Amino acid sequence: MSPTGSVPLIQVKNLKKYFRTPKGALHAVDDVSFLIKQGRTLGVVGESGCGKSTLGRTILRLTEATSGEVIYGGEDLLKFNKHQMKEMRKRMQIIFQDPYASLNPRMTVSEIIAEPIKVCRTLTDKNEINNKVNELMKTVGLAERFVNTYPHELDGGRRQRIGVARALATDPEFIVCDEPVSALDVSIQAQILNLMMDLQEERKLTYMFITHDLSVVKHISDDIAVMYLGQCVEKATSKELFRNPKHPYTQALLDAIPLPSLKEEDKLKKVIKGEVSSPINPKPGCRFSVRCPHAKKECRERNVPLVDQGDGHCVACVLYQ
Amino acid sequence: MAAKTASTDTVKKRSQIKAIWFRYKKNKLAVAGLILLVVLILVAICAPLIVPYEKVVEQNLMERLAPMSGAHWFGTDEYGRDMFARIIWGARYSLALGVGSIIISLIFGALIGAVCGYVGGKLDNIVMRLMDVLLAIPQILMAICIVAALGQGAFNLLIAMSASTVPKFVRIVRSSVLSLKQEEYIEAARACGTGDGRIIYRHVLPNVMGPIIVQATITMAMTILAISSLSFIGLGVPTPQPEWGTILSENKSQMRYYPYLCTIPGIAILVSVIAMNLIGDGLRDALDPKLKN
Repeated sequence: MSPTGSVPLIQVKNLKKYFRTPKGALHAVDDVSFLIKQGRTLGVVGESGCGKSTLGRTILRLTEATSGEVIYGGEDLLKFNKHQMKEMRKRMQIIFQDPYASLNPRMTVSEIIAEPIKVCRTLTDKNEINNKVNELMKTVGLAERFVNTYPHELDGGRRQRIGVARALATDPEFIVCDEPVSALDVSIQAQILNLMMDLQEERKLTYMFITHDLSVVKHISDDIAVMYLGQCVEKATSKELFRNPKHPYTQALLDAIPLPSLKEEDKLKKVIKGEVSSPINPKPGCRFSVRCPHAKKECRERNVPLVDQGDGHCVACVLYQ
Repeated sequence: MAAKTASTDTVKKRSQIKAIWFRYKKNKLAVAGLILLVVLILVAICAPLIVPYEKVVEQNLMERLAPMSGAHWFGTDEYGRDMFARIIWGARYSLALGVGSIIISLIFGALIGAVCGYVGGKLDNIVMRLMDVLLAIPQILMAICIVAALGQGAFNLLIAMSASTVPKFVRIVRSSVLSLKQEEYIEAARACGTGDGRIIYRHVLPNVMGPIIVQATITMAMTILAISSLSFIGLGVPTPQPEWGTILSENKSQMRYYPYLCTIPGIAILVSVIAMNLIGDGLRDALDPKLKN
């Protein structure tokens, strides 16, 4: 293995985030553990509402975790005080899903990109900041003439480039990408994805890539974690997962990818039935069991842990225990 | 080729204030409002040069209720005081009170509202209930209480007027902040470690400017009129001192026979209110980059 890619950069252990609601505790993230190695990309997939975004925000402490650990550089982030956390924020950033909502409409492009630099005081000299902003704009492929424009004057792709530039402004090592391309046109999606992959190579970035789009995740990820209702149900390298999906939910997800084919047998897809059950006070047992074609009595009786099937391919399903 | 030359010399970063002025300039009405206000302020400042203060308070019963003439441009009131002098000097009191009380209530209202909306929780609850109590008391009644407690005088009047308008600003700002703080760009600011203070002043307040400014311009007009009501019951600016609202109510009894005695101060109030409204509208549009063209 290459030197980058073997050192664990961030390790999440038993992370939980419950929201208190009038009806009970909403288990948004429930006992999720994983490890991302330096310079690699972990794709987190799952349908909407499964807690992917909350997971990303909890790791960055944009929402406080209920319990668990986030080990970054040997230290538990969740125990950091305000001051330590502020230092830490330089090293970890986030790219948001909606390039329309994530940029302050009253600030110009250059102000938006300069803001993290000013806040973190990585640079204090005005000229240096300007140079850095120009350099960042060039890096993400924004023409210099956009310096004084406002976000609303630009199209989605360019706006997302601003989002990327802002995330890069403090030279972070770790970036949470919260569905960065799902609000964009397909043609622009590819541009942004390629940009992000180039940046990763140049700057040795580590990504946690949250998405519901499997073709995107296949394109960009080294490892993939599949989430269902707050829990991680399957974890494997990208290749392994697409070649050999083990969990019935993962299989169903992969089956749902549309194929450009007119043959009859391709049109007949196995589609999982039913609805996602409520994340508020979930019943014990496998949460997918209500919809699972292989569900047995056993599934509903006990919680199913993630078990390594060899080669780092972990599955949480009674079929493989 | 053109693109190449453009990329070699860096595009000049335009400052926010210059950009706002650039957009403001385009609105002719707003510029007219600004000129109007500047003229009014100049009149207020240069009042001693235009007409000496003695003429404001000098009573000349021989010439009481004199019509408009070369000697008395706007006539005289029932005590024979020169109306022109009173209107000119009145600009000092009216503008200082109107603009001053708005600035004070704007600053306090925006600050309290933004902090309450952003921080939320107990602080928000306590402060907002306090504001509710203040809002429950009619503005005039509240001003009467404050003036009665602090004593009559222009400065106390300023405090009274500001204190009674602050709750309105707090409410407006707070509600805008509440809807704003869920925005992703606020979260983005937090993600790079921006402190709460900077978030409020850099990200939240600029985005709630629109409703604040509209409220401010409306309040300005209401404040001048409220002062005249206070003067009517003897709690406004003390009598010999001229203030447009006060002049208006002093001459109320003469309205039937000498209508210009009421109309002229009325026009003065109207002009300043229009100026403020035009400026307010222009400023609101200029501050919003989305309405650039």
